This record gives sequence, structure tokens and C-alpha cells, in this order.
Amino acid sequence: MAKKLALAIGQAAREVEVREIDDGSLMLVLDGIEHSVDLKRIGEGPLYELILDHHATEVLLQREGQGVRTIVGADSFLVTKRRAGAGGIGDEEAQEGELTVQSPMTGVVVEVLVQAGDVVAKRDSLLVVQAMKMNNEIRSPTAGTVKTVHVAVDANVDQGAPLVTIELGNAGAN
Amino acid sequence: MTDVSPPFRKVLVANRGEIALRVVRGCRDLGVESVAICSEADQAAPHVRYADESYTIGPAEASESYLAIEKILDVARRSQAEAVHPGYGFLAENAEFARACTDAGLVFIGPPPAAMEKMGSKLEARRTLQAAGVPLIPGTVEPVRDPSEAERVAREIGYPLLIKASAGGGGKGIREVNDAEELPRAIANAQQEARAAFGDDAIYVEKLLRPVRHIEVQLIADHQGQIVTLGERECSIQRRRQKLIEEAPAPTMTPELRMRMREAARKVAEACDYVNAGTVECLVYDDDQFAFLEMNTRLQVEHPVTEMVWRVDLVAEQLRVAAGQPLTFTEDDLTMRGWAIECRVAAEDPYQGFLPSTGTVHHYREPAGPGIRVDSGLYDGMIVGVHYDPLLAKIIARGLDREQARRRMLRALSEFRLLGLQTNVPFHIAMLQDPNFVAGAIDTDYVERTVHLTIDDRPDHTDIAALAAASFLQRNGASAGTPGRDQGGPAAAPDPWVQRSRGQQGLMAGWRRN
Repeated sequence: MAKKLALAIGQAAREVEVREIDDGSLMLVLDGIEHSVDLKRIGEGPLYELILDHHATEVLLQREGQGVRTIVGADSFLVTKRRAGAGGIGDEEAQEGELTVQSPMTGVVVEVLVQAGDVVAKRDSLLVVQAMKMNNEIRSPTAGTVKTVHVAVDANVDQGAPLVTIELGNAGAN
Repeated sequence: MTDVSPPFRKVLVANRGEIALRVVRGCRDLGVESVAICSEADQAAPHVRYADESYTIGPAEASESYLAIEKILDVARRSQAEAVHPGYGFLAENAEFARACTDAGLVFIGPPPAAMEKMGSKLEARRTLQAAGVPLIPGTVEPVRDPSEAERVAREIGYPLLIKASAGGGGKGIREVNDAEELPRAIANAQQEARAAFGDDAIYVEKLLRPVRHIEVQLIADHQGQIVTLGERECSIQRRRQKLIEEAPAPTMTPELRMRMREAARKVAEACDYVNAGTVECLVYDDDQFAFLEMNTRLQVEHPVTEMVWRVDLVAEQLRVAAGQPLTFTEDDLTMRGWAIECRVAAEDPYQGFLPSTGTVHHYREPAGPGIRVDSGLYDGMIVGVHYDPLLAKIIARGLDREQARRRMLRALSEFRLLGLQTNVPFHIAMLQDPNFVAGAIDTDYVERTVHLTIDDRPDHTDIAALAAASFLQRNGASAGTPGRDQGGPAAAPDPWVQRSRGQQGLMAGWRRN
């Protein structure tokens, strides 16, 4: 008997049809494609061998709140069941008019090269963050105008800390 | 048969990670007891587990633990260690630490402090070696204090050039300058980085030679005056002067150039009265020209490739030499055989310009099999943060020839399993299959001018996560915490690097590049 599962995987959404097969394995249908799946727990912990279309790979699966913490390779997802009829979760948010550059690492700001109002091109240097004794130039991922500089020289920044907000636009050209 | 009497009774290993484990293992092979030190962040690390004794000496910050000289000497006293092995990094090239060990009645397993200082100051090294007749990279042998002085030198040797910290090393404190306009800012930046990293802001100017290969000569010398050079290592696969892949021998080496480089390395060792293991790094250009880059007065990260093809144990020899014993071999006893390649597995994201990655190691299994050696500090539950160097493990593949070593390395990389943390393994897989790498046509800028992976290459695991979680929910129902019903099944040869599914292509299609 087939069962349909509507899942939210982080910001993405997927619908999976699940069928039990006589040999104890599962047949899952995703985007119209059938996959044979077997899931074997390794030991007593959260480690599983996922045998997907006859290829085995290790995954971590663990209850977390209402969902399942799922770790595949370097990626960690919280997978939750969506209620039937609930509005879909979009794969992408609408493009905003501005973009905030976050610190890719924990470190110290040693140089700020832009100020509010500056027009920047894609790949222009914005500031320098020192981590592990290396100076890392943080470059603009986009062309635009600097709206806000969130940090000053000597500021300690965590990974993900906002550094510079840029209003998108072609003023900086290419 | 070599002398089997242990060179020491007990050795303290003043390091962490894979190199601490390497030294602990080297000690045990000689019947020497080992003492591990660790920070509070490393108490479950393998070097602690496999040492005979361990002492927690402070918090995660290196300045409070692995760099805390007094705490380390205190552990040496309490454990009654006779000698200290510094590994690489941390205190390995700190002459003050070497002297403090000697003053405390301990043997420092490394070169004499005077040799360390002579080579540690890049400028003093340049002056010494100029006198010894070792070829140098064009540039200054005295410190450059201001932009106008640098500009004058630049007019002589021409752009592009490098601003280097005299106290630098391992790629730190270096700035590239392409024209006069960039010079003042580069000097200020280099001075600042040098002051922060080394407490010494003396800088100098060198011509930026390109294209060049980074090729280095391993040597080891004993107190009896014997210097043995152990051929070369090719280390041109590097990024921002951090090495990523090393091999021995160098693919383009000729017997004639090898002989000249080994001779120069011997001169370097003689010029600074060197004892113990060290490496003379050179730049090779115009096919058969080379120039001295720097000497590393310690065991290096990439020492295993030399051990593989020369069939020696460098750590064991370091211990013997430090104890005053002669080397167990002469240069004539040894021949190089086969090929070895090393890949440095680091906590860096190759899909995003090698940004440092952090996280928890939820599951780790290392490769093995014919011709594979893994030196690793990884363990399940390890939290990889920003306190230490991003190097996690080294995979070394040995073969009868380069192609066999390369294929074995690709196999080993495909077996490397790590859940929860992005590593640079996908970069290594791409590079090992790069036609220019396969042909040996590489130089030190190759990695930076060749984009191997971008964010678009990052495998999308969303579908696999959906299928895994759906299976988990199906097996465990709605009730939380119910163990899954175990299902047997054949385990095919796995490949963890999964690409986004395209059309009818299987979701588990392996990582392929060509």
C-alpha cells in the first residue's frame, strides 16, 4: 500500500511516495522516479547504512523535536513532515533588494576597505578578516552600493556575523 | 640489523593532532614510552589515547596550552621525561623553547637553537647562504624599512615581487606586489601580519619568480657529522602557499638536477652546523634552475612521502640522533624506490574558495588497503573549531610508479568517510584526475589559476536526505525514539560524493570529472 509523505528538508520541500516491498525493503518514488531503498542501522546509535538503488552510504538519522535530523556527507538537514494541504514551502525566497555579506569564519576584522555609499563591483575587496593568523580578503559577491558596514577594525566576528550590507544594483558594473 | 636499544626511556610529545600521534607511534616502535599533552578540547584525541601517559595542560587556546612553555616543562618534570619532541608548528621552530628544554635538563629533539635561529630569520639565512654559495632568489639580504627603499629595489629586480616577513614561514607574512601603486599597502599589511604572527615586523623584498615548482630536499644529520640527503619532494600543488598535495620523487626531476639540489642542501646544513631532520625548500624554474627558498628546521607535514620511497623512519632517526647515536644508514646504503603521493585532508570547503569549515565529526572511517597509509588526528565526536590548524588527516599512497600511486590515492579518497563536516577531499579527487596533474605539468600557481570546483559543483543531498528520512519515518512510525527495524542487504562499493541527479541518472552516481 502506497503512502505519501510531504516533507520539508531545511528550506526545500519534497513529496515522497513510500511502498513496502515483499522482501522487507522499500520502494520510494521521488519526482516520478522509483528508488529501491533499504535502511540498516549500524549498532545502537544514530548511524545507518542507506542502501539506495543498490549503492550503500552512511547517513545519520535521529529524532529531533518533531522532525528527523538527517546528516548526509557534510550536510545536516532537519526533515519534518508537512501537514497535508498546508501551503508549500518555496525552494527559494524572493530576491531581496539587498544582500548582507556574512563573515565566512570566526576571526578579527583587521581592515575595512569600504564605507556606506561606496559603489562596488562584483569581487571588489570589502574588508580583511584575520583567522588562524591568515589575512582573508572578503570580496563582494555582487555589484551594488554599500548600505551599511556592520563592523569596525579590531571587531571580533563569529562565523555568519553580518559584515557589510549591499544594495543590489548595476551601478558598479560587471 | 639496527641497534634495538631504545634511545630514550620516555619522551614528551609537545603537540596535538596527527603529528603528535605519529611521534607517539614512532616512540612505541622504538620501545620508548611517550607522554602526551592536550588541551581541554583534545582530551579524547587519538594521540592522548595511544600515548603511555597524558596530561591536560589548559584550555583550547593554544597560547594557554600547546604554546605554554612553562606548563609543558612542568609536565616533563612530573612525568620524568628525558626528551621533548615538538612535532611541527606550535613550538617546533622556537629557539627559546629549545633552550628552555636544554636548561631544564631535557633533550630537545630537533636542531641546535643556533641553527634554528640562523634559518628562522629568513634574512640571516639569505646572508649565510649567499656566503656559502647556495643559489638565492634575487632580492634583498637586509631588511627593507619603508616603501621608498622597496621601490628602489623593485626598480632593480622588477615586478612582480614579494614582500616577506623575515621571521615568517609556512606561507605566513607574505604579500604579492604587481606594481608600484600596490607597494605601500602591501608593506603595511605584511608588517602588520608579521607583527601579529611572529612579534617581529622586519620584512624584505624578493623577486616573484613564475612559473616555478616548489621542490624541497629532506635531510637528516647526526652529531657524528654525517649528513644524509633523502632526495626531493614535489610540493607545487599549493594554495596561498599552503601545500595540498606532495609527492616523491618529483615528476620532472632529472638525475643531474637532483644531484645539484642535494649538494646545495648539504651546503645549507653545513653552513648552519645542522643536526637532526630538516628540509631545504627550493624553487625550480626554467626546467633546471633552482634557488633556495627557506629551510624548515623540523619534521615536516609531508615527511611520510620520503619515508615511503626511501624506506626509512624519520621520527625514529630523529630520536636516535637526539640521543647522540649515529644515523642507522649512510647515503650509500639507501636507494629510492617507487612513488608516493600525499593528500592533506583539511577542514576547508573546496566549493567556496577553501573557506575554513567547522562542525562536529559525527562519523569517521579512514581508508586502508594496499599501499595506503593514513596519519590522522580525527575521531568520532571531534569538534573542529577555529583554535587550531585546519589539517585533519594525511592520506599517503605508495605505488611502484606514479600512476599506481595515483590510482590508489583515488581509491583511498573514495573510501574516506566523514559525516558532519566539509573537507577538501572533493578537491583532491578533482586534482588527482586533472590531465595536467596526471602529466606532471604543474607549478605553484596551478591551483589558484585553475578553478576545479565552484558552488555549482556542490552535491545537492536534499533528495537523498528526503529518501533517508522517509525510510526512517516509515520504519519507526510516528513514535519518537523507536529503534529502526534492521534490514540486511548487500553493501556495494560506496562512493560518498554524490552529484545532483540528472534525469534518469541514479541518485548515487559517483563523483566523476573529466
